[in-house]
Amino acid sequence: MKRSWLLLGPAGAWLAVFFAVPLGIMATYALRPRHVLGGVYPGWTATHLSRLFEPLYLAVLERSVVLSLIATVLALLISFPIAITIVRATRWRALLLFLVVLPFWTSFLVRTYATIFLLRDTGAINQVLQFLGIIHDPLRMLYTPGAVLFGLVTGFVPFMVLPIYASLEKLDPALLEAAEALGATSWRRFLRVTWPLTLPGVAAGCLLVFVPALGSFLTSDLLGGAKVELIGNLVQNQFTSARNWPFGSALSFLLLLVVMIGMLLKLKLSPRLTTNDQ
Amino acid sequence: MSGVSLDVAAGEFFSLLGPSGCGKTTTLRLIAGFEDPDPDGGTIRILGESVIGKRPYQRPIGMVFQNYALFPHLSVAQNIAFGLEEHRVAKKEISPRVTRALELVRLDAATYAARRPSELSGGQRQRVALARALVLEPKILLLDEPLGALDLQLRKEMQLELRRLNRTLGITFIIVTHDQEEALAMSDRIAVMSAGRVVQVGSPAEIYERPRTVFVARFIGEANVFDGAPAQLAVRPERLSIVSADAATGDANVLHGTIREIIFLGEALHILVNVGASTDVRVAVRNPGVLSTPMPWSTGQPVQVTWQPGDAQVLEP
Repeated sequence: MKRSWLLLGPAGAWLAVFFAVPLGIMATYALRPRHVLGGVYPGWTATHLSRLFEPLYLAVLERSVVLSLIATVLALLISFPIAITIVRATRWRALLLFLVVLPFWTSFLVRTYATIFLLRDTGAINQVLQFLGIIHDPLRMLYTPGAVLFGLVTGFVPFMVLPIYASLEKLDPALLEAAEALGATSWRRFLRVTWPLTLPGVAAGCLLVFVPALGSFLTSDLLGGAKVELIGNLVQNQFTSARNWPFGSALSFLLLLVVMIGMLLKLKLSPRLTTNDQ
Repeated sequence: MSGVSLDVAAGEFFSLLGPSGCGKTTTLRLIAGFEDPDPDGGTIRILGESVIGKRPYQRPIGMVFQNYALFPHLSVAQNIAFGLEEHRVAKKEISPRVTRALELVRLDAATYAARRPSELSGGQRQRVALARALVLEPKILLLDEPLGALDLQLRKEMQLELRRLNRTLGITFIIVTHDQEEALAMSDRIAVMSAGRVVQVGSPAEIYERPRTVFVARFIGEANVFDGAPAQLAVRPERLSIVSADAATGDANVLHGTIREIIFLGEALHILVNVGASTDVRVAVRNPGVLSTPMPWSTGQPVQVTWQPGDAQVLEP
């Protein structure tokens, strides 16, 4: 028993050096006076923390949370039918799973640029619509909040599909037949059996989409232009052009707080997982 | 599957018996409505009415699944209430009906209603699965290997329990099993199935004492099959007598051989006699209490095996 703790050694060391220590550095930076060339002076101050509560930054946080939540819900609505299709497809299951994982083989940056080619005024979608005579002038799609949302959803759908697929696959088909014999129509079966029993997978998927969406800056940078600023962009700017490392650190902690709230919500859902075994 | 034609009487305890892959579960699922027959593949009528094209919940059936398929996220009471809720039974009626269903399967509502299936033993889960199906008062209860997951002691207890429910409720029970002993013990009638066909239908006594084919004779109980002219004969081990090699026998049917093996089974002993054929003849002898009354037989001893003409069954090819 004691020895098995040794196995945690490498992971523990990794977490300590590359997670706990940087987090500690950031925590102290958030409380140091700012150096104009980047970095900090010695000493302590609470100015950065109090700046977090300025309406300007709270608005950015709110926008980020709302956009990430919408992206999560959209990803869920798209992913659940996909996961059901994969589970039901016996012959094509391997192929469909391969297709879901395929985007991981391409860099996120490249995929985002490809999205630009799809959405811009002279992009593929506009050209097709114009060619078909449905529209005359190109639709403005790129550099809008919608484009950012599109980028987030398409980017993170696989993270949602896989955990839902995993929990659907564990679902005993006899439970659905039992529900059917007891009078449940297909929608009622979904509502009363499939959904509650796949909730742990749904919660995991939502977290896997919400957390990176909240911290994303590349998508909003490239697809939103400079117009859709999210908290990820704000943090990035503080560390680069604004050279305000302490405020960037403070913002990061704010982000971390929101993520922790999401994690706690997920934990509230996961006790259901333990009652799944029969 | 083909050649499955069955008539089950109302209130009957009917078993579909056969080895795995014989089509017994498919037959049950056809009755339940989880599988559909081919468009030209015949019909299924319940109470005189065709149920072809009807969903399972449109049929007057209840089903108990092989591993019970209790909803793990719901309590015992919620599991039983599930069907009532889906059938829009008035809210105030649900709780008393759940309690009555639990009483029916002899589970104490106060103790078990709030438990999750994971907190129950195998036998208790079986009872909850029964209560969940019976609470809807189906005309037919379909049971797919309901006792397969239970140990022997519990299985015997549940056999009696199923019998009792069938008698007291007057509901038709159709049960799938591969356990011939279980089928004999519980059923009014048994359909023996093999390779997608019904081979024989009859009461347990008919199936055991008048097996129609070699398959039935060998699948239910044990049988010695002899090649006679013009057809094969089956004789049950307990119908054979064993006498010493030099004894005079008046019987017409006598086989000479030597004892290869004596198997102690408790209430009986099986004596395997090598008569020069590829399979030994199996003779069952009631155990007289071998410690106080030692058997006159030992391995290697030459003996005669005899039977009365009426004890042999002529089998169809």
